[in-house]
Amino acid sequence: MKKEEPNKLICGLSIELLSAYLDNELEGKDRRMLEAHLQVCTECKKEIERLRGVDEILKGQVIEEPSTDFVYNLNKKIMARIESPKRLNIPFWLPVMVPGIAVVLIVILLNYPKPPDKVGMEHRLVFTEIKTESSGKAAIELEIPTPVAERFAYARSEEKIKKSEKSKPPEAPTMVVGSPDKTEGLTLRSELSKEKIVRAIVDSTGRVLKVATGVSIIPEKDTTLEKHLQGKQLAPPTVRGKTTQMFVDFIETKKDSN
Amino acid sequence: MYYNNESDEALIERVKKGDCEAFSPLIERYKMLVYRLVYRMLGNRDDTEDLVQEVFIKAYNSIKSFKSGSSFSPWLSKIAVNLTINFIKKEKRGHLESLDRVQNQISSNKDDPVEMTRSKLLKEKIQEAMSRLPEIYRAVLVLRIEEELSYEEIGKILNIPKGTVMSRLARARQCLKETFEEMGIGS
Repeated sequence: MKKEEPNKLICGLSIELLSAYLDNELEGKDRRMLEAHLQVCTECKKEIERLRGVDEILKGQVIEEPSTDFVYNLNKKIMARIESPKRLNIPFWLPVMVPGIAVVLIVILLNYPKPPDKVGMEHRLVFTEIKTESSGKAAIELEIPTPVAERFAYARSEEKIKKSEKSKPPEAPTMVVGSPDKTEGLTLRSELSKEKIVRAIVDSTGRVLKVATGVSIIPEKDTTLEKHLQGKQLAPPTVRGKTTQMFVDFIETKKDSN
Repeated sequence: MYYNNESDEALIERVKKGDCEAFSPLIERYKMLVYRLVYRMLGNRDDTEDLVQEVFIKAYNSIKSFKSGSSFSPWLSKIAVNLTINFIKKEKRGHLESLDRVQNQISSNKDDPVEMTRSKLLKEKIQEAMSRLPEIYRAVLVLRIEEELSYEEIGKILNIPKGTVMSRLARARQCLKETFEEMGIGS
């Protein structure tokens, strides 16, 4: 951009006056004075012609035709943009409330876990209370009461196992599994001495389906134990009042044998 | 459409009451006016077409501020000029770069009539001269020379006193005259 030059002509007249005269914006005394000046000042006459020339060049400039898309679709495009937010009819407070609503929903979901549809490691439930009763015979019954089930992370279950391991007496622990409605129980004193987990899949009616034992996260199938336990009837496991199939971990307990 | 025969004022009242369909005839009536105005300031069809859309969206969103009884066209022009000025300010760097390219193209094709016709060359030169003007000068020039509005109308559109319109127009003409002389336009 060029530096602005003084806004006056040699004769001292302001260019603003010439420009306004050109635009027919001068009236009365100013107009008469300028017209009289133009009669005698050739410099101003030339300048006014030059300025008129600028206007003519600009007026003569051809405007590029708009595209056909503009001609035919502009209206549609604008109307689409105008109408779409109205149709949604979003209340003004909603954007502010959305994060709050999201937090509340997350809290609700975390506190009310949906019972699992399929049994998997992540859905493993541990009964917190395992009541043992002596039948007065060699075999000891293990009763799973109507469960109060809680969701445990596996790590927590492991922790429990470790804790029980620490409090373990020097002699090998005894895992006794039996059925509350049978006098004959099952004692697996020797086989289970080193096992840490006995896991059964119990169906929604409380019937034992599969049994596995081991110390790892995924215990291996235990055919011997399964043979004895398969089909045994336990109290149907329920979660929040609904019966469901689940993993049952028999936490290792030491039994006071008679 | 039954709206087509209605006056601007009646349509605007409908829009104000929430009938957005009534805005459609206003677009049809004024799209070319806005196109011309913006094009004169930008000299670029694509940018102009995009900006025209924004002008109407802005007009629709601010329709409640439109004073009943006044004319729609200067109000719309005001929006168009202000949006174009903002656009030029925002895009100035890129725009100047593209103009430099145009300028280089002009000098390289100067003697080649096959590459560029004389009228096209002239058009680009004028556009370049216009682009050298500050956007506030461009706005008064376009409103006065292209739209033939009075100083008072221009003052209302740009929200400046009549005296300022007069001085800006004089400076704009003077600057353009010198640039045209420099480029050999009109001589």
